Amino acid sequence: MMLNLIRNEWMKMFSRPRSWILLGLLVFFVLLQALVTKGFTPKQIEDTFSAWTFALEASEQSPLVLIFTLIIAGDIIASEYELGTVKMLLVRPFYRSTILASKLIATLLFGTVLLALLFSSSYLLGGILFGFDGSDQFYNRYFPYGSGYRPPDLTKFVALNYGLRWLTLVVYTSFGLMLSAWIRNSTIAITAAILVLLSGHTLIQILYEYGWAKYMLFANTDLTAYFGGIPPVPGVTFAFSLMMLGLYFVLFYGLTWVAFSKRDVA
Amino acid sequence: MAKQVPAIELINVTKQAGNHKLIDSLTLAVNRGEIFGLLGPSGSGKTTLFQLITGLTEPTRGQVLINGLDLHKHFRRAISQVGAVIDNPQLYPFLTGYQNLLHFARMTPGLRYDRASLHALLSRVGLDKAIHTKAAEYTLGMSSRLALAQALLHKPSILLLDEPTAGLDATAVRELGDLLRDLTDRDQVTVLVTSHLLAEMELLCDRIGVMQMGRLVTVKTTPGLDESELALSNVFIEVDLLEEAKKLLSTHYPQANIVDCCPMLELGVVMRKEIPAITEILVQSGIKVYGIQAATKKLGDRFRELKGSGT
Repeated sequence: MMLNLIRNEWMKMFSRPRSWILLGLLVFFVLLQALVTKGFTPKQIEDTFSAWTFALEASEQSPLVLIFTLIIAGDIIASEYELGTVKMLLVRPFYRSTILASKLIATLLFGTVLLALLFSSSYLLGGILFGFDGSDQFYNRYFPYGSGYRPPDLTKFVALNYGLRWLTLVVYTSFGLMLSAWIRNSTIAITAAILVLLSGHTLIQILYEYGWAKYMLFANTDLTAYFGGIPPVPGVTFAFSLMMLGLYFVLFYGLTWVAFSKRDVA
Repeated sequence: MAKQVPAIELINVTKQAGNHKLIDSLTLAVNRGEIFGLLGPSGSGKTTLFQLITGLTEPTRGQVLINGLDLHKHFRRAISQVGAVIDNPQLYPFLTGYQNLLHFARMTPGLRYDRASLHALLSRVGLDKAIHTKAAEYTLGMSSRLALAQALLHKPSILLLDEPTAGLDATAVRELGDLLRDLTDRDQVTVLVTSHLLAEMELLCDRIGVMQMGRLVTVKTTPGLDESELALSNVFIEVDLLEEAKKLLSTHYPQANIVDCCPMLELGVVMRKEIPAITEILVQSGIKVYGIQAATKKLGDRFRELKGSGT
């Protein structure tokens, strides 16, 4: 029966033009990136590019996936209150927790589709523009300083990269749902969620010196930094960040549940 | 007499918001196959009461029973027996009529449905031409018919309608009345409707409960035309001295007997016009009358006769 609820959420999502526009926009931005990369890269560097390297480059656009997913998450609970349909939804033989879980899963599915689209469209466009064959010179370009981390091979590294970004996506999804459930106004919930996402990075750059900064959500959201990059707050490990993300997810989703199942619906 | 479990029963229900009592120690029983109207101005608590019966709100104190099941302890089982239409814009405007119905069909465990059966249901409520039109383009009348269709999907034994006549013209109200009467007579469905218009309620309902300040101030059987001619199938009288009342009335009503459970005096079949005389006899003998209740099955038939030419 849970499956039916998810299908319902899916139907509601895609019967509105918004979701299609978001998917289209994502492909548009990948195309833009592809064309800029093609147009402004010197020939000998371009020779080191491939479908896989471009897919890796395009994964830098994952904040876009986060924003688009927050748009869906911020709306998915609040809009039911705005339309008054929440009453019709709750007067059914389902626990509120089941209905909420179906909304979480549907939103996560949407985010996953976006991330998959980011990968597949960048892989295809990269392949068309730079060729589908991998390149050994990839390592030299990505890890020039001998940062200590050597990826196993390019394909696995790309998969790891997208996988890590997916974990971040899960936590942000629960954050968006929480705002949606408490604010009950989709416009405000979406705006607030995106503002927090965008200011988080800046906030960490200001606060990274404080010891407690590492407990903040934003200090832990970029998991790819532990694989050949520079972690935003010094001394934080991958395992610590994973744990923090897990705790934040439980916190956000728990608060969503409190708002959705405990309050009277009038 | 074996006591039948009421379809909807509220026992001493109080709903408090802060210090304010939205519903104040309210007790009510709606019988099976009855159309019960909740009447009251806005702020009288009828919407809150409606939310308590649908489980959208939990009572601060007291119990809500659906077919004898505690709504909050056995929510899923109890609510499965309920179909509800709440407020007016309760559909997804961006979904078509068919998608709206599909949405709620998917939320009905055990319901067997397919494209054809949903289409059939939509035609039955007169939406066959608008199946694939987005609900945003529906008129108010079409929306309420679609809302009614989703409430009836799973053939509930209890139907709850919040302000179902809002925005409907006289013909549509009459059609709704026909449909509700059909459901109560044929399938023994119990219907509870809210409204703030007495005239419409009299047309639709068997009994009306009037609400004020969170309390049910009166419950009365709706007067129909020529109602004095109507035979009421069973009349119950609530008095302080049961034995005395029985003795007084037994000459006219040999069937009179005391029902232990309530306790009340059951008189059997009585003509409506006899009720004032009965009351007078009791009052003159110094017996206090607390209430007279009647099963009003016949009123429904009467309703049908009255407007039979129209359909």
